[in-house]
Amino acid sequence: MPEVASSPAGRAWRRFRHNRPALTGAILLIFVLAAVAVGPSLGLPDPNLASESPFTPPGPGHWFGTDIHGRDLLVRTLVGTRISLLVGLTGAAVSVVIGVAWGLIAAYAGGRTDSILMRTVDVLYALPNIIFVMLVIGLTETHLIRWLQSVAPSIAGSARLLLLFACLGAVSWLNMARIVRGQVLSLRNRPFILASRVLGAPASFILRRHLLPNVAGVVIVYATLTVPAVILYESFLSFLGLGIRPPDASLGTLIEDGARQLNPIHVRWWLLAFPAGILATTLLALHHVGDGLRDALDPRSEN
Amino acid sequence: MRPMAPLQNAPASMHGAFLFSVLTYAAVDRRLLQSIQLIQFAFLLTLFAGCRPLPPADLVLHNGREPETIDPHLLTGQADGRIGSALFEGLTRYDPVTGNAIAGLAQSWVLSPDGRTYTFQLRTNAAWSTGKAITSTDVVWSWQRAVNPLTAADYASQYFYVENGEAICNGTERDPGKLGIRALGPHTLEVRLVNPTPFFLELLASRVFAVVPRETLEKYGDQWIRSPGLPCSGPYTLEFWRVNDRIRLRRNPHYWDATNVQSAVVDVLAGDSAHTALNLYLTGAVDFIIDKDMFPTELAEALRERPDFHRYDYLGSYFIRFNTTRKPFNDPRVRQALGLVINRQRIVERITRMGERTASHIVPDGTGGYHPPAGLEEDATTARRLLAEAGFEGGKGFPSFEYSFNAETKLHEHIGVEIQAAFREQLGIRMELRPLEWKTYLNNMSKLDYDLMRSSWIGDYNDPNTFLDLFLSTGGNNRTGWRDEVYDQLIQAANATLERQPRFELLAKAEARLLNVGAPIVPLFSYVGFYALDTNRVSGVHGNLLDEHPFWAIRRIPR
Amino acid sequence: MKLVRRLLAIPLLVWIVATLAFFLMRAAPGGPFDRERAPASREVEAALQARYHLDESLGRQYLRFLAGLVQGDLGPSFKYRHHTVNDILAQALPVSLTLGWLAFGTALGIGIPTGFIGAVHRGRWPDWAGSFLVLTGVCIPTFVLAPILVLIFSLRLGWLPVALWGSIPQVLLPTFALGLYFAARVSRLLREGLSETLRAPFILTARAKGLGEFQLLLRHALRPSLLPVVSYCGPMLADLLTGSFVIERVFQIPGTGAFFVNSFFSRDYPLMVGLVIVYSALLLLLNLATDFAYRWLDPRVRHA
Repeated sequence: MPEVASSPAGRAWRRFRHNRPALTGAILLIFVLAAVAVGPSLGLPDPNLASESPFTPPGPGHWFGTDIHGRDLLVRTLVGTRISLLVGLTGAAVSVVIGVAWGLIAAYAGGRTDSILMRTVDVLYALPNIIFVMLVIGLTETHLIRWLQSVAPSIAGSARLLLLFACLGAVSWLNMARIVRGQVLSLRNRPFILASRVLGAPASFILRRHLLPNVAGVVIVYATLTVPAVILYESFLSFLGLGIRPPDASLGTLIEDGARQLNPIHVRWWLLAFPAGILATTLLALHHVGDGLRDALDPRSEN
Repeated sequence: MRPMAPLQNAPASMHGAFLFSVLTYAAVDRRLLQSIQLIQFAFLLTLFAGCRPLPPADLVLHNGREPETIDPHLLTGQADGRIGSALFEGLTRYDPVTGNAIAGLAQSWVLSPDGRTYTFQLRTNAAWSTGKAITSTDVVWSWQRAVNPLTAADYASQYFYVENGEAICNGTERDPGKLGIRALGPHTLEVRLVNPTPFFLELLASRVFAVVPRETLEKYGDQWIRSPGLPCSGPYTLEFWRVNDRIRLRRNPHYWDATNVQSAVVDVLAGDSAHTALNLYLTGAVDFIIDKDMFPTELAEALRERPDFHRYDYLGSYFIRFNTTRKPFNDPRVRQALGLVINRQRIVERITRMGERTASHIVPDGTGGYHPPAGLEEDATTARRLLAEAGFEGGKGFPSFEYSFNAETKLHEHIGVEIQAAFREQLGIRMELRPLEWKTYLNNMSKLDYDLMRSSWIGDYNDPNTFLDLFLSTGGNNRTGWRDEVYDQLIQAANATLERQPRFELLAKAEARLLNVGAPIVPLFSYVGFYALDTNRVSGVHGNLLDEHPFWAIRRIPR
Repeated sequence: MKLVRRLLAIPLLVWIVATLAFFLMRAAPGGPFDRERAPASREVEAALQARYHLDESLGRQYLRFLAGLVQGDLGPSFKYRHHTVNDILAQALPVSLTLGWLAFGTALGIGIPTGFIGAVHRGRWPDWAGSFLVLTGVCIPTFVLAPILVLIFSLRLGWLPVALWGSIPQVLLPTFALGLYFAARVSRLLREGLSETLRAPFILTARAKGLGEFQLLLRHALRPSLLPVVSYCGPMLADLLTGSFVIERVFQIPGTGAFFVNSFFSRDYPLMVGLVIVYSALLLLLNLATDFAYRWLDPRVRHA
């Protein structure tokens, strides 16, 4: 017997709870989040502290081994994951907000508005986004640092990070907009929407009540794909000198460092295995949580 | 130039898998099927735009990055230079064993007693690859072209030792004909120098003195080097050039020393990834990795142990520049203090790990027989005292500053991290690391828009002057804002001195002043090069200070 | 009619993109002729600037660029000084197009079946197997996957060459490494689309009518489910066809992907703008194709 549902949110939570992979994913994700949030402060060394034992394989003392400067890889991975998740989730969130709004409006309004909005997306997409990121960072960073030093000196060191949030969010919503628009185009002439319109529902109501819930599935799925894409794009930016400032690390830069170990002669496997393992675990959890959320939020998946 | 197409045939299996999987689902829907057929058609069309496979070369070298230009007068990169030397030769050429200058197109020369006039005898059998003789007018025209500011050769500065070279290059003398070179006969040349220049014959082996074909240049302009049937003066001719893939060279049958050119067809590969270069070498697809940048530093210890990896010293220095126009680095005591706390040994042993020699001096040991003076060695106590004298006792009140470096080489970041730690631990001052993208890095360096900056310099010829003239007040490569009259005078006096020992003493005095008094730079180490070469597989390569390995001497040993 | 209008808009949009790229590139710090070694003299520097018209006003440079563009001449490369941008594109584009097509085939060939199976058997083991593949593709970045493939198939097993371009065996690894990344996304999008469709009322109707499951899936469910995949295909194909920086670097392939990054790095304005033009034209054409593919994949869109 189905329980008597109190509210849509309650129903969604119940459905989510009964989805085993999703629940496992959620627990895993919470575990990772907790680890990166409090882990580094649990008696681990400073992530940027050099020591006299470079390239130590994993063992007691350094559970994940050490890098070229003898820095502890465990704490660096934790701190790096924190930064990467922050960057990835912010990027995905920005892409959801802008992308969904843009796609919804374009598809629902149609005609000229649609053309203008979508051609704007095309133009922005066609411009290589390194140019954009480079210009934003190159032209504003020094000013931002100076400004922050006068306003809030404690976060002046994070100027690059703030810029990265802005840039990565700004370059990752374009595909989302296209996908949402495609979905809405196919939805907007369906009988239930037409009926709603005939009954005199205002556009905002139709957008909110009918279109948004129906694109939620694809949006969530695409957002979970955006997170790793943003995390890895950040590592590419680091390679160009536009990413996280050393000595801080991100998961992406750690993995890139580790990838240099892929050679036929002498492999320091821990440098790649641990950061890549954490990334995979996190993404796996995210994948299942996304799946579960998607199912839980879908009004049709009641039985 | 022969254009190329990518592929000979369709990779049938992959194509088949694609077809199969999609067709299975499309089978029911005719329209879907049709459109897929359309895609397939386009797909096959791309694949069959094929070409003949290349015949294999006699020698395959990995030359590092794609050359930007192989015009011998314009090129600046080392990778570019190797190809420039293979195609065009000057009066002298590099000895494959020692890297010193030996006779090239000139067969012999006489130096006047005052050391300022050379008379060269060209070889009578010197000829272009078209068979036409190379005469002294070709040499004169080539030199005049290189020094002409309109040619825009970066290395035109090498002509400043020749009479009127500097004046022509900076536009005060408009007539390139006034350059101190003159044809005395079809095979005789006279060259007049400004001062006696002990390293002049070494300079002549560099590419900017190479002889280039006048008619081709005048006919084709910028694209001359890719013109069909390009006449070459060096041991090889250019068969084709595929950007980012390879340059194929073929032996020049009319080269005066053609019989000693060891390999008939040489493929010179271009690529950015050191790991890929190593893989190509290990699987035998490449005979010899000639470029030191194609050495994965991650593998330094492991590769150093191998018999087929050869280490050699060469003329390159790694150092830090201070921006002496910015506070607090305008105070020499601050610069000295910072320079005094860097542990070079640690950087060389733990970071670079290729067996570099630490150097507190800018001129690498052994340059042209010169012995560089000692610079500031690690001494934290003195450093703290100097910093206190400058008003920053215990690092208090020291403003936050940045160490800029180019980001694409991980090594620079690692070194930055070490320096950052040293400053923090020894002096209590805080330095941020600022990775920069390449052109921003160069731009900031030339505009003096930095605090501290990672730098390096590769010598152009085997003489200390190639390093020391960087820091002249007027030097375009100074880029620290440091100006010192005493230093300038010492360098000028040295270069007007004919005798070797007194000259070196003056240079050493100048260098000591640069390092210990002015300290606009902190040298860290001298570079070493590595090349991957199995001596049972390839012969004719020898380590030398100039890192010159002429292609003509190299050959694959038949198994 | 609409098609013609959209087609006509393409040159206009390409022009906008090219113009933006032209000016944005010049706003970036540093110039093409900034180098480690200072020029021999001021005159040398001036001659260099004059040769490439960098001494002219930005407006004049732009007009010069437009005049060249109209004639199909993208100008000389500033970095590769003996090559024009047209030369470079003529050499590198066929390589990237070939690799891109093959990778596209691989992406669809792997992504569509796994996504399809994943949706039909949602929550059961074939779905899990598919998910595993997808996650491999999503979690392992290309710059890790490609060297691992080389280590296994070239260095350990010795089946395939490690790098370079020109023969069939040399094509296999890069194609797979590049394709897998996109296959993962295609698979994921299709799985979602199809699961969504399978819950729609019309599927219930079709099922009630007694249609065979296979027929049902292919004839009714697959087509509308491909929508998200199709909207992804446009940009994906444009990306694939213009080359991948990482893959071309790892496998030393002479395509256009490396130039996208390097021309920016070296402030090779004409080369960068030329590449942007090629890329945007391709992208706009493919997006146009995508939009029309929508119309017949989903009849409901047609009424729009």
